[in-house]
Amino acid sequence: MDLAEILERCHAGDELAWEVLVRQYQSRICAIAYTYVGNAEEARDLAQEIFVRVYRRLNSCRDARGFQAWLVQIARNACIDHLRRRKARPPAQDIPVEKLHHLAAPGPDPEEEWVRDARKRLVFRALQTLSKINREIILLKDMQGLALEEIARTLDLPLGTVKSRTNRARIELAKAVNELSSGGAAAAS
Amino acid sequence: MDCRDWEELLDDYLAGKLPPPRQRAVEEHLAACSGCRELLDTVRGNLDSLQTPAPEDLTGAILARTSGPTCPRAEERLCDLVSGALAAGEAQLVRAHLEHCRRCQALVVTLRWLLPELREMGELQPDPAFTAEVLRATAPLRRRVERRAAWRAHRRGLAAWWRRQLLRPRFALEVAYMATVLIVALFGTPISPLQGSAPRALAVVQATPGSLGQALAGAYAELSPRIGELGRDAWQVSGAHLTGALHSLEADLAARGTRAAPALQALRAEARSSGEALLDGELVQTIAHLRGAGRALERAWQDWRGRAAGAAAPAREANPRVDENSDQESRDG
Repeated sequence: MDLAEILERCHAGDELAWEVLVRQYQSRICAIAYTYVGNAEEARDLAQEIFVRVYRRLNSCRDARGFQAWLVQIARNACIDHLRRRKARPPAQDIPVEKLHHLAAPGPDPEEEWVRDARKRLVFRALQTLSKINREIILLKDMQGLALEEIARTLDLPLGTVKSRTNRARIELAKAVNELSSGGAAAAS
Repeated sequence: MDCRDWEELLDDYLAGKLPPPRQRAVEEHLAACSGCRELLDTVRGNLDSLQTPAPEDLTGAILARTSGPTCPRAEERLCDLVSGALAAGEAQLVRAHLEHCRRCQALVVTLRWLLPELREMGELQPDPAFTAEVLRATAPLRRRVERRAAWRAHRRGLAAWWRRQLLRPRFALEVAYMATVLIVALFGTPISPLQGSAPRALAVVQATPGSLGQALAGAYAELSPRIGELGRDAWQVSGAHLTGALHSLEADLAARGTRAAPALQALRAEARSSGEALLDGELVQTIAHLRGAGRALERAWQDWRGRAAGAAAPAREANPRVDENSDQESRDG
C-alpha cells in the first residue's frame, strides 16, 4: 500500500493505517528527537509527543509527496519547543557545581543502548560540536534525505544559502570527526 | 633489429612513445644484447640523477607568496569529488592537490565513510513497546477523528442529496408549495402563533414620529424596572468581585507610586455610581456614569504613559552630559 492510500485511510479514521504509518516513520522520528536532545529516554518521550502532534494535524497534510518534509517540520518544531521548555525549567534538585557543565552541553550516554556502534557515537559527538544551523542541515539533508528546497522552507533560509552551507557543514563535520578520533587515539596511546 | 637501430629508437623507448610491435622488438633486442642493456641502465641512471628532488616545503612557500593556500578551494570540492559529481578537469586538479596534502586526504577518507554512516543514523529503531504506546496515546484523539470523519461523510451525503433535488424540474414548484403552506400555518389559521402580527407591524410602520416616540417611551417605561431587576441580580453576583479587583489594582498602583492612582479612584467612583443607577433602573444615568468611567480610564492611561516620560526627564536634568555624549555618538554614527 502506498503512502497516499495510507494517508487517505488515516484521514478516514482507519486505526490500522495509522499504526502502519507510525511503524513506517517511528525510527526516523526517534533519530530526529535523539539528535536534538541527546538522551534516549527523553528522545523516546519526545518522539511520542511528536506522533500525537502529527495525529492532531494529519488533516492539514493531504499531499503524500510532501509528507516527509511536513513530518520533519513538525518533529523539528516539537524538539525546539522541548529544548526551550527544558531550558526554562529549573533543575529538580541541587546539582554540584562540578557537574553543571553536563547540563550546558548534554552529550550521549556512554552506555547508550541505541548508539552502541563506536563509529556512530563518534559521529554523534562530532555533530554536537557543530553550529546549530550546520547540525540541522546535516540532519535534514544527509540523515533525513530532504531536498534542498524542502530544507530551505523548513529552516526559513534562502535556497542559495542552504546549497552553499551543505558542503561546508559536511567538511566541518569531517574535520570534527578527524579531530575527535585523533584526540581519542592520542588519549588511548 | 641491430644495436644501431636500437640506439635510434632509444629516445622514443624511454619516452614510452613506441607503438606496441616496435616496443616488443626493442625489448627482445634488450634481452639478447648485454651491451645495449648496460647503455640503457647508464642512460636511465643519468636521467634520474638529473631530477634533483625539490624541498618539500617549496610548493607551500610559492603558494603562500602567490595565490595563497589552496586547501580551502580544494575543500569546497571534496564532497562533490566523493559523490562523483565533480567534472573531470576539476577532479584531476583536486586529485593533484590530494597527492601532496595529507590533511585533505584524511578529509576525503572520512567523507567516504561518513556520508553512508549519516544515512544510517537517520533511523533509530525504538524498542518494540514504542508503537503500542503511541497508539495508546492517540486513542482518545482517534475517536474524535472518527466522529469528524463520520460527520464529513454525512455532510457529503446531504450535499449530494441537495444537488439531486436542485436538478429536479419540479423543485421550484415544490418549494413554492411548501412556502405557502408555511406562511398559512404561521399567519392564517385561528391557532397560529403570529396571528394578527401583520396588521400590528403595518401600524408601527405607518405610525407618525410622535406616536413612535410615545411607543418607545412606553416600552422604556415597561422595560426599565426589568432591566433594573436584572442588573441588581448581576451586581449581587459580580459586584463584590469587581470591587475587590479594583481595590487590589488600585493598591498595586499606589504601591508603585504612579500618578494614575487618582484617576483610578475616579474610575472606581464612576463604576460604583453606574452600578447604583443600574440598580435603580435609571438607564440614562447609568450611561452617563459609564461615560464618566471611560473618561477616567483614559485619564489613568495618559497618566500611566506620562509616568515613563516623567521618569526619564529628571534623569536627563540630573546628568546632562549623558545626553551630550549620546548626541555626539549619534552624530558620529
